[in-house]
Amino acid sequence: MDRRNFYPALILLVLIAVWEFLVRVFDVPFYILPPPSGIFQTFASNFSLLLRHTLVTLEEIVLGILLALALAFPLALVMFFRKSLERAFYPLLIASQAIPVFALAPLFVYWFGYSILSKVLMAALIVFFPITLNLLQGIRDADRDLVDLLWVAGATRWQILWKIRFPWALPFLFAGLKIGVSVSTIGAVIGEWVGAERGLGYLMLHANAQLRISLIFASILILSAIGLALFYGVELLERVFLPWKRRERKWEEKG
Amino acid sequence: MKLIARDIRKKMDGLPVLEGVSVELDEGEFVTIVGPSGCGKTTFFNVLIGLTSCDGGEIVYEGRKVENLRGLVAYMQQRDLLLPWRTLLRNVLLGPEIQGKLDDGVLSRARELLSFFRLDNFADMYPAQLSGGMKQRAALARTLMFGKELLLLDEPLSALDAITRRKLQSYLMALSERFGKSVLMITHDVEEALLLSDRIYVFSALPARVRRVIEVGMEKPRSIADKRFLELKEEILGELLEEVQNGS
Ligand SMILES: Nc1ncnc2c1ncn2[C@@H]1O[C@H](COP(=O)(O)OP(=O)(O)O)[C@@H](O)[C@H]1O
Ligand SMILES: [Mg+2]
Repeated sequence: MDRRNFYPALILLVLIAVWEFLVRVFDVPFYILPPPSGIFQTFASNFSLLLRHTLVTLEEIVLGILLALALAFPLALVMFFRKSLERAFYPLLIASQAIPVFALAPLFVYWFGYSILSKVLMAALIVFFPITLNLLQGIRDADRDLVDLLWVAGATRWQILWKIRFPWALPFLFAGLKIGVSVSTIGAVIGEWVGAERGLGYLMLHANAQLRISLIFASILILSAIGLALFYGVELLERVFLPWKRRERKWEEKG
Repeated sequence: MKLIARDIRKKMDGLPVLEGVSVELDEGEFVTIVGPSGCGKTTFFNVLIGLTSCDGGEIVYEGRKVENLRGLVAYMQQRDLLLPWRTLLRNVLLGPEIQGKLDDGVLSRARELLSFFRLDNFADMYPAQLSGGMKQRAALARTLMFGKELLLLDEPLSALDAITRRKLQSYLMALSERFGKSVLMITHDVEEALLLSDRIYVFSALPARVRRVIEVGMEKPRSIADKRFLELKEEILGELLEEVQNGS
């Protein structure tokens, strides 16, 4: 294990040990706070149930992220090319973030029903904002001299966009994606709480009604794992798509 | 004449920066502009290539009056401006790529150029992995690959240390001597100007005018120890010093 991950892992292990210890020493009832070992047991004995609901939630999240990406590109481009549209959209985009997403959940369920659509939209709404803003910033931020170099050579603005601005914006896009995917679970789960027949959010409500606290903990654990996995997945993609970044870093370390 | 810039005038924020600058360049010539820093040399280039408009004057390219030289010249700055996400080879191919001329012939020409600039072993490396001198050589190779007959170079070697600069001056020489390009270059290095140029324009302090035109007329390659070379160098430095003192 590399040194960067060692201490977080150690702290986590210590916390789990302390939790287990305290629950046993004070004899906390299982339905109030189960010990980590109890949660693990629940995990094992309800594996197929958890897996089924996990796949549902995961699908909502992934579709939500893809939808957010599909909307972010055209909107960022439109705002970049048309200053007037930027002035029109930008405040709305900011304002849309002031709306608490969970306040929208009942509406979405009302409009789009218990189907997957309302959950996908919730996830997309949360992810969309950081992606779009970062993408726009990256496209705008591109080195003026690089843009001029191509312009002087007679390049069209689409060539400048494609050959300079997009590659320049990629690190920004990935930064936005990392923020987005780590909170994407929130949207999906809230959507499921308000109206769903499947998914981890639904399972949690169900477990809550039956006082199966350890199942809730297991769900939380899985949701965190999804968030983490998505985050590191994006980081992996970043390495694949931005090989020059890695070279730069390596080179700087070597000095 | 390859290029005539006649009586170019430009004000910026009400402040005159170019006050009737005229520069000429013949086919295959190497012409340099020297002048105190901040006098308007880069602004002059920006007008020529269309990055800023001018308030008066005209630009004639190959006998035709043009708005500016956009699409007609290859332009290079002090910064190498290599795209960090592209390998050297792909950087060098940028020009043909935007002109839609990528083919096998172009690819082999790019490789030949890289080896002329002694970069053949680094074709697949990223700019961040290379030294300043190598990056500037790559930028020169890329500038040539734009396939234009006229090159505009704005202090192309200024970011380099003295020794690297010396080494790269022979590559600049090759632009006209070997590749047959017409070159208009800005430099603050008087020796560099004298080594390379057929003609030198000495600009005044802000606002820029042409203070003096020098036809160098010595055989190339030149020696920095030559008597006329040293005389001219002293003269030009003297004039620049005078301008700096008048200017401030
Ligand atoms: N974008 C700008 N806006 C206003 N003034 C500028 C701008 N760029 C340069 N200048 C002014 O124009 C003058 C000439 O600048 P420049 O052409 O870059 O000089 P040089 O290249 O000869 O060193 C400078 O004195 C500077 O103050
Ligand atoms: Mg300058």
